[in-house]
Amino acid sequence: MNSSSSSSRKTIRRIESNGHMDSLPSSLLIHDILSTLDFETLCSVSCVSKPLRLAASQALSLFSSLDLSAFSPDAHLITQIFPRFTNLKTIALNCLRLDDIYVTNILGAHVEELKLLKCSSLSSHVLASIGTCYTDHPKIFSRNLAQLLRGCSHLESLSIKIRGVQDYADSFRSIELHLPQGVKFLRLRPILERNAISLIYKLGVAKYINHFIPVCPDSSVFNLQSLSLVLDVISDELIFAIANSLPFLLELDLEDRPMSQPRLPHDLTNNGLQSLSSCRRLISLSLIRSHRNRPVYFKNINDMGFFLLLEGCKNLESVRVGGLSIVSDAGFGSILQSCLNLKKFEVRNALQLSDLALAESLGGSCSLVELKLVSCSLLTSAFIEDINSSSTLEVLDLSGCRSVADACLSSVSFINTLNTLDLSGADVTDSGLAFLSKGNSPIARLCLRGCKRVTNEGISLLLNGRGQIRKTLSTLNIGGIRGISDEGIQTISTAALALSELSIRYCHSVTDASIEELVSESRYQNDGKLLRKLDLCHCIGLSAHSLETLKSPYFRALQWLGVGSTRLTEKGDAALAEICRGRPCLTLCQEGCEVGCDDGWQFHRSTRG
Amino acid sequence: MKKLKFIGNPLLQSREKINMSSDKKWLTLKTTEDNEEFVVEESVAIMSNVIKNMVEDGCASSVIPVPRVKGNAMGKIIEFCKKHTEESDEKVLKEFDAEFLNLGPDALYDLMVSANFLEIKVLLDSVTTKVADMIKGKSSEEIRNILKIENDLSAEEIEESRRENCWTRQE
Repeated sequence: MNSSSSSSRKTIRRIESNGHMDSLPSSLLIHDILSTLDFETLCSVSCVSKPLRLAASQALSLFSSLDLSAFSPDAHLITQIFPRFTNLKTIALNCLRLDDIYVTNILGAHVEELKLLKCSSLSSHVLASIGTCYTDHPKIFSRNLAQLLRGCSHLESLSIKIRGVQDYADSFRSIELHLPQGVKFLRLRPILERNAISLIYKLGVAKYINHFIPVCPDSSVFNLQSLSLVLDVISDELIFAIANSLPFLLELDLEDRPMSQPRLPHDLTNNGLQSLSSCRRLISLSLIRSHRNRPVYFKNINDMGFFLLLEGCKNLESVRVGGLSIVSDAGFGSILQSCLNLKKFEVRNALQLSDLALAESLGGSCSLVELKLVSCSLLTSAFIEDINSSSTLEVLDLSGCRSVADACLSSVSFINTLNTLDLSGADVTDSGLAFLSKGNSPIARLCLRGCKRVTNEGISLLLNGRGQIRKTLSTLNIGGIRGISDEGIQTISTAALALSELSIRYCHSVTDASIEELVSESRYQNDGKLLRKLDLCHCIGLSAHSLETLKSPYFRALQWLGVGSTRLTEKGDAALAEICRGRPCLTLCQEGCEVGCDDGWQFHRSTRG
Repeated sequence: MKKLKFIGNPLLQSREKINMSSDKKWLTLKTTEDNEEFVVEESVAIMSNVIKNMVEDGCASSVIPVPRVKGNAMGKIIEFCKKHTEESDEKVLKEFDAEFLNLGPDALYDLMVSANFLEIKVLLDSVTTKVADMIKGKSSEEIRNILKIENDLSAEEIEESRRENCWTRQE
């Protein structure tokens, strides 16, 4: 923005002096300007001019935190990236395609926080070497876990998740023997209930033995603040242990996945909930009985259990419950009424939750930020009809609520703070989408998976309206909708310019023309963003011709592509490898995982070489 | 040609060092590049660490020469410092800064270099933040246009740079 009166003086000045931004003193350029930028902008900066390229690479090396969990780098990329960083303190790494040696090589002496995700190619020897060489690290498992724990006496946070293999259920058996005293945050999955009970008693008792003074709440004796476990069964005995040993717990997250309906006395009852009310400092409570293995429920908890729990735990800000088949509106309503600071409320598989429990709270002054009501079949659109216009709701998840219909969307569209909306399996039609398009909700993530009555017309209404959604939508899931065809994809490509993640899984009417639409010129002429994640699983209308459009130079920024169960795989692995050529950041998934392979990586046949 | 600028009471025309009252000292800053002189209150001038050190060490005589800073930039810097010493309300200052920094890349460059030389942290932070915000999230072509930088990279170098940094395009 140059003032026109001084433009002539400016031209003269440019010839006289070297006043270009890229000739600033390097300390100024690098430390004050470039090091405040994010990685992506630095990448653009390094393509601007020679001096800026040098400055950008120096700025990159100053970063102390590196998060590569969004995609799975291969060995070549790792050896290219890590040597440029000299003082990394925090590393998050997706290890899906890495072997032991690459991981141990990147660990430098400064590393304070380490997150290794999706370690299917790593052996437990990695864990031992981390424990012996470095003293301030979190994470890992089995026989080498003990060695790790002995080596990390300052450990504060430990999180280990083992997926996909059944015979590791007993792997945390004697973990309490080695766990460092200073641990504040502990997350283990899966762990057997009996092992968990002895662990919890040890966490409590150890404090008593060390100090002979009466225990007072603010002493530093009670260190554990957050406990998160996935168990085989949640029982009263476990809750009694927690209430006795860890009365000053801040966050409790328990999930169980029983193989059969638990029977008394090995189940959670009202007595357990009553004892939990003595943990008065709890701000986050999660009690979920998952349907992952069988459709099982907490059949021994009713409304009274929650009344008793809420007498003590009034500071709750986040409540997540699942599998409550007998608790009625009175119980759920009491949670909303008693916890005045409640920000996150999630209820799964609640057979008796109806509109009544929610309508009153949502209509009044409610500070809810996240509301997730998953597979609650009694819910209809009525619960949200009278929602207060000053609502601060940001996330609304109604997946699996089959009776929620278009009327809900007319109320939702007035929520000015909503950024995530999930309506999978709801009874939404094109008219509902028209409501969304007129509203001013800045929705960035929208999931309409399985909303079978939506058609191309609905997509057009959604994205061509005058509302904000066409500018803010970045993630869209329209899987399982037969009515979406090439025309719908064309609308998406031309109108949803901020879209970076798209899932059209199971859309049988989509053909090769759609893939071509997604790379059409009209999108990029209007500054449309490049797609990063694309899920084409089960799109049986696609043929092997699409392989051409999926290769470089198209889809330049693609990080994840799902092609399971399509005809794209019929030409064999060699043809698929062609897609990955020139794009080292791309992960190709043939196994039908959801976007990002977050929950399916353990079943991959082979990590893509 | 010598030009004299008075920042302060516009009614005063004298060229001597002015003592308005017993507790306000005035300094004359002279930019040696283009010989412009500026009369400012000491409390405003010592926002610059360099000048502050000179005053405290007793090296500041009646006229302080300031090399490497052009008259235009000096004027703007003094305007900034004056506003920041007078005003303490954060909101007002923020609005002032936003309006003040509504400049082209050349002017911002001059301001940055001068503020860096004179060690005026507040101004330097504001300008660097402004420049960083101008280029955040932009593509390399847009950055070139905004900062008026010439492209001296060949197509191969650009492609190589992109390939090296492809991993930075994360969520």
